Amino acid sequence: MMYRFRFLFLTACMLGAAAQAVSIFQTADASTQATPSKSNLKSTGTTKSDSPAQLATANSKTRVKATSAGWVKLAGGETAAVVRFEIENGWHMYWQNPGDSGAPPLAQLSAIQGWNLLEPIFPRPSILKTVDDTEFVYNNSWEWLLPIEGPAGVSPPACSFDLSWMVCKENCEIGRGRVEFAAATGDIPSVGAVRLGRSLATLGATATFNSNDQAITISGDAGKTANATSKNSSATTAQFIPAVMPGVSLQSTGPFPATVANEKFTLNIPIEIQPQNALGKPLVFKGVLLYGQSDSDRCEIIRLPLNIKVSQP
Amino acid sequence: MKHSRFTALLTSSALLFGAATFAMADDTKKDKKHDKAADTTDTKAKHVKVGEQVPNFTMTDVNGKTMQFSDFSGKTVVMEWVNPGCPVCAGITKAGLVTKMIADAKVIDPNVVFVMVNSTGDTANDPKATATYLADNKVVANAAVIDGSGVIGKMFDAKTTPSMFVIDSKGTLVYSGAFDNSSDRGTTPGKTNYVLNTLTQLKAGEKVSPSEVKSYGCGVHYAKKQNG
Repeated sequence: MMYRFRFLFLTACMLGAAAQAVSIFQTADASTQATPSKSNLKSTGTTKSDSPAQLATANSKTRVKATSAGWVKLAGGETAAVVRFEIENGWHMYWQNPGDSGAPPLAQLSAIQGWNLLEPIFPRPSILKTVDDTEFVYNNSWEWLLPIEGPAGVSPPACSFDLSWMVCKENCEIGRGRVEFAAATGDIPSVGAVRLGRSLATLGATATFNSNDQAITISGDAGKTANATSKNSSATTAQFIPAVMPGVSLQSTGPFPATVANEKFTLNIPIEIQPQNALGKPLVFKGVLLYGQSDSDRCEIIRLPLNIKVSQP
Repeated sequence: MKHSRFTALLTSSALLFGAATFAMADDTKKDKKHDKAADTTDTKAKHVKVGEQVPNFTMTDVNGKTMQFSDFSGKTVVMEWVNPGCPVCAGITKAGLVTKMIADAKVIDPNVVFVMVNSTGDTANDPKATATYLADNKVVANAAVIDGSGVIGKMFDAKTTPSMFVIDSKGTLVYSGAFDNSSDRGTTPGKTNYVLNTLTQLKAGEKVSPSEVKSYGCGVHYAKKQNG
């Protein structure tokens, strides 16, 4: 039996180049500090977010500076706080699925009655390949969206996020910090506008699960996979990187390259369904389809419910 | 000299294993399969998957003592990949979670064997560091193994520290993956320790579930050149 779905969420992953859009994000006053230990989380005062160089680093071992980059509106109407990470040269942080090793950053919203942190949105990662491992990472700087929900029609109040992250080079370190956000006031820029300003038109593609072959097939128009920013748009490549999928096993960490023929690209990814490893969650095939090779190229989030009952075999 | 000592060890291990096998003669076909596997020393870097038999392999501990995996035949074996330099691994160890896991595991299965393995290229060849790390954190394992070549780590496809592997008494890999279901890389202990969960299910004769959970932690960082 075949299941067909449209791709979901075109917005989030296009924030891969969001670092370039800081001037759009920085509409709200914000203060922040990056500290290496939980015990040193108390803010030392207000620092303009457009002056990250002024941020105090409490410990020379801190490889990451986390700063506020204001608020943005998501396509669904939610408001998200934008945390900008600046990473020491040579070090990297991790995407939601770190790959063979690592761990993504974590965020906790300060206790504000009626407001909750929704699932963080990660921009397009880079692929870091070594002899033994494949990791999905961020280098230099990147921006992380933390959507929050609260009472209808009310703008987000001043709040803060306690963050922790793993940052690695040859070795790894755990960093912690608190980023404070001023209340969202005035017009909040739309993240969609940012995205449309740097991407091609929306690409149509489909993902199907063939239960007989136990494989996922993703196909789309190869012509539209061209590099979104390059004038020489001969690049017609796409590759898929998987999210963490409990109960769905792949043959490798990825990425899975597409084959391109007759102006169509196709990805065929064998999967093994392991309901006993689903940890009680619905079986979902998910990840990101990356177009082109550049970090600033477009990408799409894929989420394909497998409609298989999760129970003991 | 070294060679003859190794041969003697191998011979005595084989004899011990033979005796253990004889004592379990009324067991099933799977036992015979395990015996066969244990009789064959195979140090090729083959990935063992959950549900497969673990072939025999040679280990060298922090004191330079050589042993065979088959030395633990008939017992459930828990292998943990460690790296003193990894903050995640060190975090759960210094918090006492590894010590607690071992203690709790012994309650479930008094014969369970714990093998700590360091496959990290830059520290695995410094046995003292691993020995000190385990001793300082009161981690008492049956063996603390130095796998500088990465042969054992790659055989199990260990990717992170920590990574946990449970091999049942028949020699089948029954669990591979995370230490626990911590939502913050082990800073806050998860409610479910997957090793204890596996041991409990093995004791009850149940199918192990989950049998594979994505592990969290630092990369193992194998040595650039592998000898095996």
